[in-house]
This record gives sequence, C-alpha cells and structure tokens, in this order.
Amino acid sequence: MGRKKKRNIAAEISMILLLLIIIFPLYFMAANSLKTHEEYVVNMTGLPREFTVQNYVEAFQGKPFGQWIWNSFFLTVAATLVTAAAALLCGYAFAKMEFKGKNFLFQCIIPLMSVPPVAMIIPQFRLIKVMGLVNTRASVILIYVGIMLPMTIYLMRNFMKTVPDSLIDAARIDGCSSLKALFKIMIPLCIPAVITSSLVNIVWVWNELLISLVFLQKESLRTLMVGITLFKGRFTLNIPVIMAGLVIATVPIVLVYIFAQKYLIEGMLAGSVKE
Amino acid sequence: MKKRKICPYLFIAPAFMILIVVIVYPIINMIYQSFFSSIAGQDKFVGFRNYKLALSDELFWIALKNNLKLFLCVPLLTAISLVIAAILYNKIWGWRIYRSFIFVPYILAIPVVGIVFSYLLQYNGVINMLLIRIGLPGLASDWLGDPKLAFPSVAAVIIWKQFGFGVVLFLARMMSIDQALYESADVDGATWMQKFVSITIPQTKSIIEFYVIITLIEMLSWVFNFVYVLTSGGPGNKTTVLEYLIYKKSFGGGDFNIAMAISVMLLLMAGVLVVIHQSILKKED
Repeated sequence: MGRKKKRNIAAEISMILLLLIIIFPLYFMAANSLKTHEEYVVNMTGLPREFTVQNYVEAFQGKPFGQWIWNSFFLTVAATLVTAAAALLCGYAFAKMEFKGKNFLFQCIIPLMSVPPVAMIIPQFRLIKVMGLVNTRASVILIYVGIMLPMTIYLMRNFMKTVPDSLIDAARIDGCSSLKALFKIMIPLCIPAVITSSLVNIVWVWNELLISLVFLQKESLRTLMVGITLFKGRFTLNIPVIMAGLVIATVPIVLVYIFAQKYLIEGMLAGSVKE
Repeated sequence: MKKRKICPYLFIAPAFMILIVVIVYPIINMIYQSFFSSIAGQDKFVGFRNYKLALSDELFWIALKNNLKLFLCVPLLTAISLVIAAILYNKIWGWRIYRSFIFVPYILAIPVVGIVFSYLLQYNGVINMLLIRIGLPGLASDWLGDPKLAFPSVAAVIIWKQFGFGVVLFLARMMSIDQALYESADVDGATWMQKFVSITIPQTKSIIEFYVIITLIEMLSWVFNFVYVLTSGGPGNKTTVLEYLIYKKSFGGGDFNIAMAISVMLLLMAGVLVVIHQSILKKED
C-alpha cells in the first residue's frame, strides 16, 4: 500500500478492463453517430468505414435541435447566475455575521438538499399556476435555483469561514458597510468557491430532465434533455441520428470537464448530496 | 445600531424567499393535501384515507421493495469504489488518467446514458451480439424487457454511472493518510491486504459512513430519471420505484392526493437518512 512507483501488472490489467467498460458505451455513441443507418445495421461495434456527418445535419435540419440547445443554454446560465448571487449573500451572512437564529436557520438548509424533486412537483405546479408562470422559463429557473441553493449556500458558507475575520474588520474600520465589505473583500476571495459551485450547478441544470419535462410543455421551450428523450421516439428507426443528438448533448459537459476538472470534482465532492 | 440587526436578514432574505416558495411551501402543501380528497373541485378532509389506500395498493409495496433492492447497490458500490481507489492509491502507472476517465460517467446526463444503454441492452443490441460472437448465444436476452433481468440491468446501469464518484471521494481521503503509518507497517513486513484492512479502511472509515448514507439517499430520492428513461417502470412494474409511482399517480390520471400521501411517506424515509447524515456531519465538525 505504500506509494512507491512499481509496476503492478495485475492491477494495471484490471484498470484497463475497467477503462474499456467505461469507454465502450461512449465509443458506441460517438462511432455510430458517424455511420449511415445501413452501415449501423451490419456494423454496430466497429469504427465507421465511411465517415458521414449527415446525421448531425439531419439532427439540426428536421428537428428544432438548435432551439433546444439555446433553451438549455439559457436556463443553465440564468439559473446558475441567480443561484450564485443569492448564495453569496446568504453564505456571507452565515459565515461572517451574527444574528438571532443563525445556527437554527443554517441547520434547516442542509436537510433540504435531499428532498426528492418528484414529491414536490405537484405543489410546485399549483403554485406556479397561481403565479401565472405556467410554461415560462422563469418558472423553471425559479425551481432550479431553489433546488440548487441549499448545496451552494453550504459550499459558500464553508468557504467564507476560511477567510480570516481580520480582513473584514480592517474594511469595517475603514468605514465600509457590510455590503461594501462583501463586494470589496469577500467576492474577490470567493471567486474559487463561486466557480466551483457554479460548475456543479451548470452540469446539473444542463443534465436535468424531470422539471423541464413537466414545466415546459411548449415545443418552443423544450430543453435538450427533454428533446433527446422525445427524439428517441421519433427517430427510433434511425439510430445513428439519435446517437448524433446524444453526442451534441454531451459535448458541452465533457468540455467543461476537460477544462475545469479540478474545480468540478472539488465541488462535487464538497456538496455531494445530490445528483 | 438598528441597521446592523436588520442587515444579516436582508442578506439571507433572497435565498430564503426562494427556498420557501420552491421547497418549504410545497412540502407543507403536500402534507396538507395528503389528508384531503378532491371531490368535484372541493377539498374534503378525509383523515388517513389516502394513506390507507396507498398502503393497500400492491404497487406501493412493489415500488418500496424495489427501492430497498436498490439499497443493495450501496454495499456493492462502496466495495467496488474502495477497491479501485486503493489500486489507484498505489500510484500505478497512469493513475491520474484512470482517475480522470473513471469520473466521466458520473458527470454525464442520465437521459444520454439511459438511451445509449437501451440500445446496448436491447434484444438485437450490441451486448447480445457480442455474446453470440464469443460463443455464448444461450446468454443472449432482452435485458430490459425480461421481467427477471430488467431490475438487475437497471441497477447495473446505475452502478456504471455512479461508481466513479465513490472512487474519487475515497481516493481523495486516502491521499491524506499519514504515510508514516504505511512505513511502519512495511517495517513489520505487512502484506498489501493487511495494510488495506488495518490502515486504509480504518483511516477512511468516516468518509465511508458518509458515502453510504448519501448513496442510500440517492437510491431512495434520485433514481427517477434512470427508471423513466430505461424502462418506464416496466416490464410489469418490475422496475417501478416510489418516485416513479408518485410521478405516475400524479400525471397518469391517478388520484394525486394518494400521490401526495406516498410523497409524505417517501419524505419520512428520506428524513430518517437525513437525520443520520446530519449526526455524521456534526461528528465530523
């Protein structure tokens, strides 16, 4: 168990096998997205003999794929930004301010992380109806923010706790109000925490299915995940086109992972109560 | 000085207002509705009638049993993740690359994973084709359509997608174990297995507890998407879980007050796990 660099053949072989199990479904998706349907039928597992990007063209032409991508993108950016702003303020209060009921309120936040979303959907739907927000992006953004807030507040508060009080006190002596202290001192220091939690939130919103499925019934508002789930039904016969759709839905997340792996993993480990 | 006192509340107000609207009020409303019945558009108090109806429905018990069966994934996931983490911890050649790849399934979208696997697992899909090619045509099956195999197949997809998280979590903790412990064990001539059992496991114990609890919560509260995309609860309700039952009763023209009663029961079960989770978190602090 020491951390010596010694080659261990048995361990390496088992890891390579594991790697194959992980990669195979992804390879299957990517390779088949580049085949014609005729080739897929006779050659499911091999590399494409003739590369074709026709499936991608078809995905964009016939179906509102571009619209779905835009919808997902819009929801992801808006929900992540609102969550970060509300969680920054809230996390700052919990980490650096004294007020009655602080510990109690903070304790209340943590259990909210594990409420099953399915259970809340009908009451949420009725509320959204009363608010006149049925079939609007605002309704879904509101619900996403609510679901992401507990974990994000938790991360922000824990991170801000590590910022020395002396820095804020110095700002107070200079006559800064709390809000100024937050903007001038905490926000710059909190950028890593904001990035970390936002990456987790970006991945979650982009991948989310249930809430957008229920709350956005209008064709023009559908998200990419709902789109590809329905897409499957419409194109059942043309599997390569479906695979092209899946690749398009996956590439943004994989890019986030490639460029920000360290932050993303850190965030997911730190706030690991939800998907 | 009065301004000082209001200020913190102004800071937490936006977040709490959203939480009240999106989570707290719906929970209260759910509990309330679980004791009422909607008759001709009028809410009528019916006491525990919805609970009795839910509990007398065979589907409830099937779904609950399936959730409990999913709990069996937890020891499996824990063991797999621990062993892989321990292997990577030995810094085998290329361990960083393995770690990067192992985490990939965890960040993928469940609809994407579900659709890909449904093509791999279908009767004329790739898994069966490979089985036939290696000379085991007897094993070829309709993995998601066979009542006996559907549940294990869904569980396998869940494990495929989730195990990377445990590996990375355990590996991070192992990296912070004091190396002196291993060095003194080496002096005593301990084997890999002895060191794994008497150093690595005890040193990662608290994080293992934490992992087991959050994974149990996941198996209870966050598996809807897998079931929805892979099997829609079928065949013959063999893969229906409580979340899916709530969804079906809510949107499938069923009695939504009963769905609310099931929701309350699911929430209570998750609540028990949350209390355990909280006490572990406190111990950690």
